[in-house]
Amino acid sequence: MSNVNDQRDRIAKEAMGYRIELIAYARALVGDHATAEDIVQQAILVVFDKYEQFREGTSMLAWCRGIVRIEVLRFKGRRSKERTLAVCLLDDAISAAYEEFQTQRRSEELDAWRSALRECLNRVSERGRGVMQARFVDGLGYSQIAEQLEMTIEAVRKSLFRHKKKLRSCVEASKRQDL
Amino acid sequence: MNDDVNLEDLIDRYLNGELDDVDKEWLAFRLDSDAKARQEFVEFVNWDTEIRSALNQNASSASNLLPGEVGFRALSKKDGSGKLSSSSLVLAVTIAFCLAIVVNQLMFRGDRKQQEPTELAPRQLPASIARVTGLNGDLIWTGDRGQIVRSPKVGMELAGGTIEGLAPDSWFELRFNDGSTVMISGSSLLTFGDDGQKVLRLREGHLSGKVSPQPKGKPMVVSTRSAVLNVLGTQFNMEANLSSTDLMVSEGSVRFKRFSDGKEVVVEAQHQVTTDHEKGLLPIPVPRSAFNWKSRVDGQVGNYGKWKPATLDTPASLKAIPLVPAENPDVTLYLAGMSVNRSDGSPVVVMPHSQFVVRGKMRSESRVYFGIRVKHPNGEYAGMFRGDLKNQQPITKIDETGRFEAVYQLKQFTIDPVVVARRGGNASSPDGLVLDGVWAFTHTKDPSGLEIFDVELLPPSN
Repeated sequence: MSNVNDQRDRIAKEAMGYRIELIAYARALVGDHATAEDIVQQAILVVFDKYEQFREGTSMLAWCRGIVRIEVLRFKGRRSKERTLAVCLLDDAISAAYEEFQTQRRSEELDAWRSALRECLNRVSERGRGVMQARFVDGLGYSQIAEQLEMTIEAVRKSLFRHKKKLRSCVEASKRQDL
Repeated sequence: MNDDVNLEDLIDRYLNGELDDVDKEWLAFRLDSDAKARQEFVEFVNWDTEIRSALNQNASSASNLLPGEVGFRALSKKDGSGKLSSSSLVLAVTIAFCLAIVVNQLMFRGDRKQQEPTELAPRQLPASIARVTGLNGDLIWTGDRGQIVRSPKVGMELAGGTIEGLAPDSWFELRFNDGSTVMISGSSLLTFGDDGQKVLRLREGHLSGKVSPQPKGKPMVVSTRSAVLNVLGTQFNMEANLSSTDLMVSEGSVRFKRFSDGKEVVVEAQHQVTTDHEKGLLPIPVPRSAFNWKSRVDGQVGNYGKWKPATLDTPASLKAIPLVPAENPDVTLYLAGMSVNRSDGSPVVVMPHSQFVVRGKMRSESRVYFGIRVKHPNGEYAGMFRGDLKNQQPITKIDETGRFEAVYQLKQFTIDPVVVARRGGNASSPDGLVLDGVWAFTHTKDPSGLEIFDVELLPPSN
């Protein structure tokens, strides 16, 4: 019994380690961050129940992505909206892209990367953080951010683009420093 | 702009929900045909998600320091980035709350013996914050160190968590330690906690609340995807779905803020407000009662079933989907349910001698069972009634295309057996009460193919 629990806890814990990657995948399919988080929360409960179906030696991330995909389909079904052909094509193309390019990274590597990201975020100007906060945390659209921060929509778009680019350079620079 | 910039813009607009089907097909084509585009797409979304996660961590840290400040702050135009922090905090608190539940489930759901406290690490048992005072139908409660309970019981003490109503006839009433009560009904999902300040998140569905006066500076906060409410002591009903939140206040007042533009208003008694109005956020008096109603089967909040769009020869319908009652797992019902809303927000009152007409189609003739849920004008639960029990419901006849029309007279309605034992009682009849939800189902060996085109409440003809 204890072995069973150990195995279940180990698999669930490993799956939880990929939570952000799974949210990214879910978000790519549903568009909305908050919904993606809810879907992944549900998917992790499924992982907990179906842990026996995971085949050791295969990719945990790919297995979890499959579960997230099912939960996304359920979610879209619950919204009672027919999936148009375009949506089906795009969902398939996105899933294929993730299978190809979303790879498992070692947890130490990820921790260091995320720590660098947090560090770099602290260096972003207050206004830049405000724009990113509005976009990524509050989920506001460009026009809403523009109104709130008294900017033009184009300025919001450019600000996000610029700050994301800076963040990327900053994280890559700190990675190079670590090497 | 070069192709890369175009692609980035396309991805950005897709994630923002701005692409039409033609653009989506174009994006799918780009991804299918270009490995670099696929890689860029994955990296773009991953970066956004990582940045959000990192920002959230900071917001969560801030919220830990300011538990009493989850609420409204003045959002003046000159407030800089700080003006966004109120909604961020509420979001962060609710997200952190949900995540904490999942983490608890994963970390502590295993062998209980492993969780016994040790001298080195004494474990604090979570204190009860509320008690279940009434419930019905299929519900799942998740919380309290990872327990997942399919059928919670009346009297259970809860330390917070998430309650999900799984069927149209589900409802759940919770009494906090200070006497405040909240109730969800139908297919609803509510997360609740009380750490000196009650914080609730209604992901979707209906919620009614009767809130005792709250400590100064610590109002009850109810957030949805589109709005946040600050409640000090009042009685209200609300409904939330993915895109909008509607609030109706019966007594007292509620401060209501729309996330999309930061606008906020105070909604007084006998007024209602919705986030749906694009321009203003204007509370309006609760309209006068209506006595007739016709359902909408599209994706409106609270509907249970699969929406099927209209075709050339068939109207849109809500297809019944399987439901296994928790109390009788050997039975599979095929059920479609709808919440009751009029577009003008007026309450729909059931009059004596009214009748319900259910139109739809089935594969073969069978009994169509029909039930309703009613509430008092102040939003409090009043009862559930069945229109098919007093006299044995006849088998519903179908025409050559499978269509049927079944009529249920209000005088035939009796209390639904599943709520007879409810504490606090039920109204003796639905006469004069406000219609809250309806459902129809078949109980056949195989799927009946039941689809509901519409349900209509017709007032007495005289």
